Order: sequence, then C-alpha cells, then structure tokens
Amino acid sequence: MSAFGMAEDEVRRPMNSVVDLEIIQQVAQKDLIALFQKCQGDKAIVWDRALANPMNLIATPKVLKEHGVVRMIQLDPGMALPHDIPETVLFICRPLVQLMPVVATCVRNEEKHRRRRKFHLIFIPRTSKLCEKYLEEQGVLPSLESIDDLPIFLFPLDKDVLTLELDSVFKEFHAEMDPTGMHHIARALVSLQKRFGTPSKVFGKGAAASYVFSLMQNLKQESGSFKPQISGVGMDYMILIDRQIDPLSPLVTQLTYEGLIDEFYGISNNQVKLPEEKFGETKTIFLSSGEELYAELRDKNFSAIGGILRSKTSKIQEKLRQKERGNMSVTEMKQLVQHLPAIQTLKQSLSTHTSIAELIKAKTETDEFLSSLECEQELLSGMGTEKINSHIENLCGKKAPLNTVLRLLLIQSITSGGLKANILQHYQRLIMQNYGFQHVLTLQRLYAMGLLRLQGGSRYTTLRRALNLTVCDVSEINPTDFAYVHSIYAPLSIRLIQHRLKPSLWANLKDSLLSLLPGPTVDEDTEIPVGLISGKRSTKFTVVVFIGGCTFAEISALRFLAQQDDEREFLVVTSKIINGNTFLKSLQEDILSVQS
Amino acid sequence: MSFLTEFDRPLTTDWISIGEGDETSEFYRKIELYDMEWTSQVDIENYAVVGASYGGPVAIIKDDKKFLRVTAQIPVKPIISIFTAAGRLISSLKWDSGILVRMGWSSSEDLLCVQEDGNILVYNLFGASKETVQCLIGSESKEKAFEAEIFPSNNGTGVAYLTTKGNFVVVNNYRNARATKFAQVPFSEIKITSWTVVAANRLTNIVAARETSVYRVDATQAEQVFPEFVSVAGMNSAISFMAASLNGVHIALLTESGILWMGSSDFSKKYCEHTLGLRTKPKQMVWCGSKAVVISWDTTLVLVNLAGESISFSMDSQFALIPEIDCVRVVGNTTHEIIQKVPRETNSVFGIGSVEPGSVLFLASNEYAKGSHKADEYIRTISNMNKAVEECISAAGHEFYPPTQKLLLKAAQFGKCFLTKYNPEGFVHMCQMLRILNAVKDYKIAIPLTYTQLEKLTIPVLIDRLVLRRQYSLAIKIAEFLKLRESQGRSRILAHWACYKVGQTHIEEGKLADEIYEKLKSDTNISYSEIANKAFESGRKKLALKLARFEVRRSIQVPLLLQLGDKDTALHNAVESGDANLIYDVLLSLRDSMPLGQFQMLIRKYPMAQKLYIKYCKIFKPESVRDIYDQEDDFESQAALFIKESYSSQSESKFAARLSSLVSAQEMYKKSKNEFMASVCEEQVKLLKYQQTLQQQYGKDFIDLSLRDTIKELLSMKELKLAEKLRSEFKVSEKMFWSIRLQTLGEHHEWPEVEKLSKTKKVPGGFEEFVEVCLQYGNRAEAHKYLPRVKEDLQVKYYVMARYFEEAADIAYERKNENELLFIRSSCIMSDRSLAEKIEGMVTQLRTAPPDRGNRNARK
Repeated sequence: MSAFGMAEDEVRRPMNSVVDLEIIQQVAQKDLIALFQKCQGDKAIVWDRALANPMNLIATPKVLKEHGVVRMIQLDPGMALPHDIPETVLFICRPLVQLMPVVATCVRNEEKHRRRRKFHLIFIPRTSKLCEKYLEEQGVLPSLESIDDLPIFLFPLDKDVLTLELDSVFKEFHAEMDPTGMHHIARALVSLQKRFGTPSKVFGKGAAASYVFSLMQNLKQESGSFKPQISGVGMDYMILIDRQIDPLSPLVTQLTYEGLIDEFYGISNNQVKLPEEKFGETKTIFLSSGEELYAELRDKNFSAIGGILRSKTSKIQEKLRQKERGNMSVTEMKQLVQHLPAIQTLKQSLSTHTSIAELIKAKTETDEFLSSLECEQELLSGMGTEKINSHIENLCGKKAPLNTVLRLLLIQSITSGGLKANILQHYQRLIMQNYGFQHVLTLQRLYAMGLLRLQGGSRYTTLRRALNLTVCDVSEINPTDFAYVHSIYAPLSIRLIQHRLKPSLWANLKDSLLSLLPGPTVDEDTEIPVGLISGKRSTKFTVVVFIGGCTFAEISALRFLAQQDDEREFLVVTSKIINGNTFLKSLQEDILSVQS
Repeated sequence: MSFLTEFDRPLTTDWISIGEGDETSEFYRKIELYDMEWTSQVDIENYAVVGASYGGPVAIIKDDKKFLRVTAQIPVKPIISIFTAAGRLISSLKWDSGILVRMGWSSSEDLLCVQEDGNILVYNLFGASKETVQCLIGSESKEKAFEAEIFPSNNGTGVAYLTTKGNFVVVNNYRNARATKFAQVPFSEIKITSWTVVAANRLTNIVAARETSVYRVDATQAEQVFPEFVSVAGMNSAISFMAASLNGVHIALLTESGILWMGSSDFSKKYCEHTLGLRTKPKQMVWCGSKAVVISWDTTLVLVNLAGESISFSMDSQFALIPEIDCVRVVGNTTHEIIQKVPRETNSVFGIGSVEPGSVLFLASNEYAKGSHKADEYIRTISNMNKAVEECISAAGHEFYPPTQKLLLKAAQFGKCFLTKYNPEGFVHMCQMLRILNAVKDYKIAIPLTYTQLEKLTIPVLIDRLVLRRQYSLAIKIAEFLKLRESQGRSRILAHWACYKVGQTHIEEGKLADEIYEKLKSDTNISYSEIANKAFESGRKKLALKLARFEVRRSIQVPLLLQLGDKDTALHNAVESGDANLIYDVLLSLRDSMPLGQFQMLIRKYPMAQKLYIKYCKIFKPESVRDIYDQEDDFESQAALFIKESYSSQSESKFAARLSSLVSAQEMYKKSKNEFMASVCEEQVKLLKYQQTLQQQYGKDFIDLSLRDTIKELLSMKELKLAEKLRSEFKVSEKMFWSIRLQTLGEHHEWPEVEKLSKTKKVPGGFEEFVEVCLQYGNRAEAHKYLPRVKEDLQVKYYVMARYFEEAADIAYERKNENELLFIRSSCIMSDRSLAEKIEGMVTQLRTAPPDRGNRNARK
C-alpha cells in the first residue's frame, strides 16, 4: 500500500522481492521451540546479553511465553539468580569462554543454597569445546541436565539483510588464526544455498573469503547428497568480501541517515536507544523498512533528510487543513477518510524522525564533528597524507575520544599507503603520552594487522584513481553515484562489487585490481546441469557476504546499485553490522579487563 | 455356459481336489521348485533336517537315531552342513561342543544350536560362529535341557526348553537371553508325551500333554484344557504329536492311535477330528499355512484340512517338511517342492467351471492373442472388469512359472484397456515384485518366496538376506530397480560389501583399499569410517588407515585416525576442516598421549593448531604460554605477555613486580630488535617510578595516569617546576605542554594566568586554542580577547564559534566573502533573525557591487 502523500514520490523498487527471509526466521523459531519442548513445564531463560536483541528477531517474547517461558534474565557478571523462578532454567549463550564463569557461578550458587533446579545450557549457534572444557574443569558439567546446540546462524535484520552477529571474526581470523567464525559463516552460507539455490558464479577476495569458500566446498562434500540446484530463485552471484581488503570504508564517517544514527547512537539489531532531550525520556525506537517513511529515509544522505521531512509534513498539514476547511468534494472526502489511518501512521513517523533528525543535525553541526570530517575528507582525497596531521595532533592534545583519533590515524595510514617510521612513532607516542600506556597493545595489534602500517607499496592512490573512490561533485540530494553515502567517498568494497558485476568494467581492471588488493581471489563458475537451469530468470539475484562486518553506508550503496539496475537484487549477509567505533572496539586489546 | 468347458486348462492338471468334489471343494497343488544339487551326497534318511522359513536355507546333521539328540556315546564329532534351498552346499562346520538338543533358524537366518546346558550357539550362514548365548535354564546344574524348540516370537526368535526335571523354561528372544520359568504342569509322575509352543499376540504359551491330559501353560499357571482327551470314536490314547500353526492361531494334536484333532490354539473351538489310516508313528507334523496340517511318514504324506478331509501323497524318497505361512515346503533327496492350497484368485481364474470375471478375461486375452473374434464375445460378458483385472494380477503373483505369470499379466493388461479410470499402481507393483521373486528364486540364489511371503517379509528384509548371502550385486540391482533411497539401498549394500571385503585376509591391503575405493568412490553416502572400523576390528590396521583416509566427513574421520594412531593426518585433517572443536579434540588427545616435546614439534607444523593451542593454554594453563613463545623465539608475543602481566595486579605491594615485568618486556623487544617499543617500555618504567614517588610525596593517585594527566595533575597543584622537569625528561613537545597548561588553567578558571600566558613571546599552539579553552570553560568574554589574534583565515569561524556574529559579519563583509556571510547567516538565523536579515542585505550589496576576489571559506 502506498501511503498517502507518497504518491508523487519517486517509485522505488521494493527491496529484495526474490527470496523470502521469513522462512529463516520460521525455521529458527521452530528449532528454538523444539528445544523448549524438551524441558517440560515453566522455565526461566537466562540470556547472553548480546543474544537478547537478535533472538527477538527470531521469536518475540509473546511466542516465548506461549511456550512456557515465564522469566527472562540477563546473564551478567556477578549476578545471582532470583529465587522465585521456575525449577527449569535455560542458559542461552554464544559459545564464548568469557561467559562460562558467569554460568558456573550461577549454577554453583544455586547448589550452595540447595535449590532444586534443572539447568540446561544452549549454545547458539554451536557448542564450543573450550566452553565445555571450562565447565568441566569448574566441576559444573554434572549439574547441567543437557548441553544443546541451537544452530541459528543467521538473523534476518531486514528483507535484504542477514547478520550472523559475530562480533570479532575479523580479529579472530586475521590476528588469532581462529577459524571458528569462518566455520560458522561457511555453514550459514551452505544452509542458505540449500534453501535458495547454488550460485552460478562465486567471486571472493581476501584470505578470509577464500578460506570460507574452501570450507564451504568441504561442507558440501561432507554432506554428500548436496547437489547443485536451482530452486525457484537462482543465485546469480555470491560475492565474498573479506573486510581485510577494505578496512578503510568502515572507518570513514557514514553520512547517510541510518549511518549517522548508528555512528552517534549505535543501532543494535534494528533498535536504537535515543537520549531524553527530544523524547522526554530515553526511548528505544525500532527501525526497519517495515516503516515506510524510514524505508525511504534510511539510505539517503543526511543533507536530503530535512527537505523530505519538511515537504511531507507540509503535505499532510495541507490535506488536514483542507479537511478542516471543509471545502472538499464528497469523493475527495471519501478518499481522505480511507487514507486517514495511513496518514496517522505517517504523522507519527514524521514526528519521530523529525526529532531524530534534529538530534543528529545538532551533532553534525558541532565543530568537533565538522573539523574531523574535513580532516577525513582531505585524507581521502589524498591531501597531506604523508605528513603529521595537525588536526589529529590537536585531538590528542585535547584528549578527544580515542576512537576519533584512531579512526583518523588509520585513515591516514591507509590512504598514505603507510606512514614514515618517524611519523608513525610520533603518533604512537602521542597516543600513549596522552591516553596512557595501556593502549600500547592495541596499537601493536593494529600494526600487526596492517591497519597501521609503515611506508611501502602505496596502493590507495592507485586504487582511488582506478576505482574512482572519491567523487567531488556528487549531489547529496539526487545522487548519481553511491559516493553520496560518505558525501565524497565511495566505499571500495562496493566499487569492487560494482565493477565485478559489469563485464565491460571488469575486463579492463581485473588484473591490476586483483593484484592491488591483498589476499587470494576466488572466481569460479559452478557447473550447473543444463536441465536444472530454469528457462527465464529476469532478476539477477546476488548475495554479498561481508566477512568481518559491513556498515549501513555500504548496504545503502548496494541498495543504490540495485535501484540503478532493474535486473539486479542484492541480499546482504554480514558477520555483523559495524561502524568505525564498533570496528575499532572489536580490535582493541583490552589490557585492563585482564585483571583478576 | 458351454464355452468354458471347451477350453483346455492344462494349468489345473496338477491340482488335487480335497473333499467331495462339489462346489465347496478345495484344491491343493504340489509344485516343484528345484532339483536338488545334493542328490548324490545326501540321503535324508540319515539326517536330521531343519529349514528356515521364508525360503531360507537348510541345515542337516547326521543323526542315526532320527531325532535331534546327539548323545555323548557318539564318539565322532558330527558335521553340520548348511545348504541353500536348492541343495547347494554353503558351508559346513564341525560340531565339537556339548550335547546338541535342538537346531533351528532364527528370523534373521542365523543357525541356532541349543545345547543340553541351555546355551545357544549362534552361527551365520557361512558356518562362522557369531556368539554363544549363555542361558540359565535350571536352578541347579543337574537340571538340563531334555528337549527344546525354536519358535518365532513377537520380538524375534525364541527358544523353549523342557528340562530333565519336567519344567518348561522359555526365552522369548535369544538375543537378550532372559529366561522365564513356566508354571509346573501337574501330575509330574506322568511323563510329558508331547508339547509345543504357541506364540500369538505377544503371548507365549506352551501346550503340553501328559498321556491324555492336555495343559496350556504360561509363566503363572498351567490350565488343564482336556482332563482326559477322548476322541469321538471313543478311543483313548496318549497324545504323541502336537503342532501349532505359524501364526499361533491353530493347533493340531495327534494320538498314538492315529486320531488327529484340530482346533483353535486356545481350545475354545474344535474344527474336526480325523482318523488317520496309519497308526505308525509319523516323522513330522506341521501346518501348511493355516488351512491344513501335513503329517509325514517315511515316503508318505497326508494332508488334512480344517474340515477333516484328507489327501495323501506318495513320495520317491524320504523327505523333510518346512512350514511356511502360506504353504509347506517338502525337501527330498532329489527334489524340493511346495504343497500349497490353490489361492482364491488362482482358483477364480483357472478353476474348472469358473465363471469369475478373471477367468473370462483370461480366456478373452488368449483368444485375442490368437486373433479370434471370440475375444470380443468374452469381453462383453464381463460385468466387473475391475475385478477381472485385479484377479488376473493377483493370480499372476501366485504363479511360479514366468510364462504363466506373463499370460496372466497380459490378460490384466488387456482388461485394463477397457477401463477408463484405472490406477496402474497395482499392476506395476506386481510386475516389479514378480521380477524380484523370479530373480531370487533362481537356483543360484535359491530363495523360493511366494508373493504372500514377500509382502510379509518386505523388500528391505529381502535385501538384508541377499546381503547376508553376499549377493551384493543382486541386492544393489533390486535397490536400484525399486529406486530405493541411496542411504537405504545402494550405499548401505556397498558398505556391507566393503566390510565383507575387508575380512578377506588373503588379499593384499593396498590392493584391497584400492578395490574398495574404486567401487565406492562414486557414492557420496558411504561411510568409510564404518568399513575402516571393521578392518580395524579384524586387525588390519594398515588397511583401516587407508580406508579412513577416504572418509570425507572430517568429524567422523578424525577421531578414527586418532584411534588408529595416525596423529599427523588427524591433526592435518582437523585443521583442514576449519572446525575449532575438532582441532581442540585432536590437540587435547594428542597432548595427553605423547611426550610434550614431540607434541610441540607436531603442532608447530600447523600454525592454526598451534595458535588455538595457545588460546587454550591462555585460559587453562596460563603459565605454559610463555614456554611456547620461548620455544618459538617469539619475542614480541613474550613482550606483550609481560606488558599484560604488568597490568594484572595493580596493588602497590606488587609494584616492583610490575616494573620488572615491564623491564622484561623491554628486553624482549630489544631481542626482537624493536627499538621503538623497547624505548616506549623504558619510558613507561621511568614514568611509573616518577609516579610512585609523586604518589608517596603528595598522597594522591598518580600511578597509571598518562604522562599528560600526570603533568596536568602537577600543574593543577601548581608544581610548575616538577611539570617542566617531566616535560624535558620525557621530551614532551612544547606545543603539547602549552596545550596542557592552557587546559589546566581554563579548567580552574584562572583567566589572568591565561592572559599572562598569551603575552609570552612565542605561542606554539596558536591563539585558536585560547579561544577554544575559554569557550570550553564558559568564558565568552575572555575568548573575545583572543579572537583578533586568531589566524586570519580562521577568524570568521572562531567568531561564529564564540557567537560574535555581528563582528564576524563585519569581517566577512570587509573581505567581500559571500560564502562566509552565508555561513554566518545560517548559524545565527535561529537566534538573531534581524541580524540574519542584515547579513542578507550585505550579501545583496556584495552581489550588486563589482565582484572582488573573495576569500573562500575553507569549508564547503
């Protein structure tokens, strides 16, 4: 249904009309309920905090209640279980060793008080030997009635986005060589292919991409009966992007509406907590394309938001005024009454988003924001990347948030193609002198992972030219290029996809491009038996997998590509939605939490 | 109808009618299945013969006394031979155990040999011993099995014993060997003259006779059903034979005087009583299906139906009877035959004088084949074509002779044409089943099943039996023919084949592995690990290893490789799987099973495994992590570890330890030639030492502040000298030091001091910072002092920042910079509308005035 007042707007194609992700949610919910049914009667769930939101996408509290869940408790360090809970207690957590002490303490505490409890432990998506070993060493293993896997790998965020909710696969794989996350991703993709068909082509770049691809091959071989199939939907392409080939894009400030909300307030599984200044109280707002206005706004550059909100508001007011004046024909009146519920919804939406936009506007107008943005854009354009940047120095001097400093520093390090040793050392010293020695290991890690790097083999300049990464004259209101998501910068990851999908562009660039980007390349055609190819497939359905996370701006850019190409639709699968801050957080070496 | 008699029916020539020969009469037929291959070797007269039902194999043992009791007096160890139904020898085994009381077949075609002590020795078709089931039948060792019977029970195959003390003990399933002692039969002074097992509806009863009294016995009671068996003829003699039908519904009793009584097994119904002509003791009495009893003497065979009518057959040689659910098999020296009641449908089609639709259709079809117009005539008389077709199909199923089957199927096919809505499933199914039945009946396979038996047995079981006979190829063909799922059909059969192959110790291991792989490689469902396990069990470790390597499912293969001791491959494949859980499994198992040094050498080959092991150690054995790094000469990691350690305890008492950790870190960095990091550590040590002194001196927390915050703290305390000392000691840049001073002063609102600072000759940070600090701590007026000294191109920006819009506008206007003016306007529009309008005026003025080179604002 097209809401009233949107009729004259551009006709946007619905996102991803090809595959129905609801089925993923349904299957996951069914698995969850099946586990619940294993334990009779009322039960309490103790949630791993990080799973509470994603699981909300799988089963609503109402559904849980229907299946005997009478209490929901957050799993937090130092917690003790309340005593007025049912006998059956289900711990549901990610397979992370750091969560196990909390579980162990809870269990032991209950036993100390001789409360009759039946404990079950459920790992999403899969058990971990380390966790089991830990529980074994702590002697709580016998107290657990069962340990189960709940193989929910993918959480549907929207019609075209699936997330695995893996916080730190980038670090785990590239710094620690821990394949757990890759294994999960490979499994998720294989299950996705089982459901939606085998892609006819696979393209991937980066060590993690090729590793995931090889694991997928293994898994398919192991499952034996897996045969290429095209079931209803045909996947045209599966593109695997290792974050390592483009660590720059998440560091750059997102300037889309959704991106900015995320940068400032952090969107977690479609939910954002907004401060009281505009809403009277801290308010949690649910953001998804189910809300028509948000669907229209989310991918736009923030500069365009004010205009849209204003024009929509005035249109509504105009209509309502007409009604009050009463100079409407009967048919007009009838039409209006029909649209009234839609108008009310839209009005509510408009008021919410106007408030959000005002919050963001205020933030974007501060000097801190603008000066750092300016510095960022200069670096992206290749200006002054080789010398010590005074803005970064100043930020350090003012002890601005460390993340802001690190983001700019990494941007400089990447865009310069590596810093001179003395400059790098100067920066490192600056950070340690101002922020403290405890950041030394984080800096070391960033260095080891090649994010902070020494001069040698500047690639950015060449890539910038080859892929047209910075575009100066793109319109923020009516963009013709997805560089608008960062105002002047087009994310490298998406540029690569754009080029790969266009044979004419690809032919010229292929060799130079692939050698400029790190890591091995996967570029394969799947042999699909002729009989299986269904006659006509008008839409080219492309699954883009970000290993190591992607930003909202990157998703917006992909949606922009889909809007440009009538035949192409994208499904994004990401290990996690990230932004510069969460990306850096996942890389931090948290030296102080080691204290015992 | 006259035309029916015109047709010659050769197919009924071997039918024998029983009874009066009127409408109600039944027909029986004897069909030859095989010419026995054993003709020259076996004379049944000298053997005890037991056959397995469902067309199963036949086991024989030499027995002079004609009953299955091998007594200790016989010095020679007897030979048990196992033959196919066609008399081909499968295997023989030498019986060298205790006294054999009974021999028989289980439902899964294992040969069960029941010993006097109650134990059951189990052999497979190939004479290989599978197991010995211990079975306790008596409370004392003196109580032995006197007789035993093997019977099909509801959950497998059971064994019933009559002990030397006259007790009945029943084992319902020999596999679990749970023996139940049955109630005692009264009047133990009279010998039990005959008994049998009745197993029906999950209940197992024994019917036993003491002379003329008959009892029905179970675990709780012995119920007398005939206090004294008296026949109608008034003759009264001991019951010497008993037989229950296979389905346990009927029972037949035979007295010494040759009177046969037939009734229901619960004795609630009596069907008939029949006086046999012969009074000699018969050799065997079994049921033929559930419609008749067959009694055999040396070369004579008498069949009595439920109505008490009988027919007798005379045979060429001695023979043995094998009961089946729908017939009886007669195994003789030269032939193997079955005696069967002519099935209803067969009778409908072929019966003399039959006017059933099936019969007419059959005629019509034959006429049609001859091209005779009579076909049409016949077809027209069929009122129920559906029934006609069904009858022909069913009748085909009951035929053994393929040409007859064909004729009947053709008739059905012909009849089908006249039906508009006919579901062909039944027809297709019958064609398939007949193909299978004919294939397994072939004398090389020799499983002579009737259609009824196959339906009861089911295809999967038939496939199992073929596998059991090592007829893998036929089994696969059947599975493929019926399009069974690979996991149930082909793959499973191939796996069995491979397991069998693995046991062939005469073939060289490498060759065998290749042969197996060659056959199995196209099949993705095969579990090599199962086969490898088999090889391992039969002690062929090398072969097992070879096979295990073919397994694609790493999660199954890796544990197997570990078990087989191929540690390297196990680790390699675990790493390849990318499954951290699997890698940990291998790592922990290896660590516990080999010397540490070797273990470390091994995992070093696999960086991923090594890293994961380190991760494991960090959690469970932190003290060992450094050893690993040490071994690997990984100085950087060791340094990082030391740095972490320096933070692990922050209590003051361990301060010295913290310092020494950092010193160690510094040394490590030196070793790894990372001069920069070494110097950073050194500086941190120095800083901490300073901080400790300061902390003691001022009683304030200094330790773990950053250098900047330390200086700031000192400046706050007005310890400028000390701050300066730190500055020079740590080579803090002039600019940074200034900035800290400014910040500190602002924070404490010491504006005069700020001004003093501004008057210094050199201001390394520029005046922008002054403005910022003033604004940050809320002194707009103070900020105004420094605005004019801000760098020219930043002035407008800073004026606006300090909200001196008017002055900003003047400066911009003076510079004729339209962009700046617009920027100021947009900044002040919310707060000062009149000023905004004034600026708009300025802009218009600028636009009308000849353009001068404006100073563009740096920002967009």
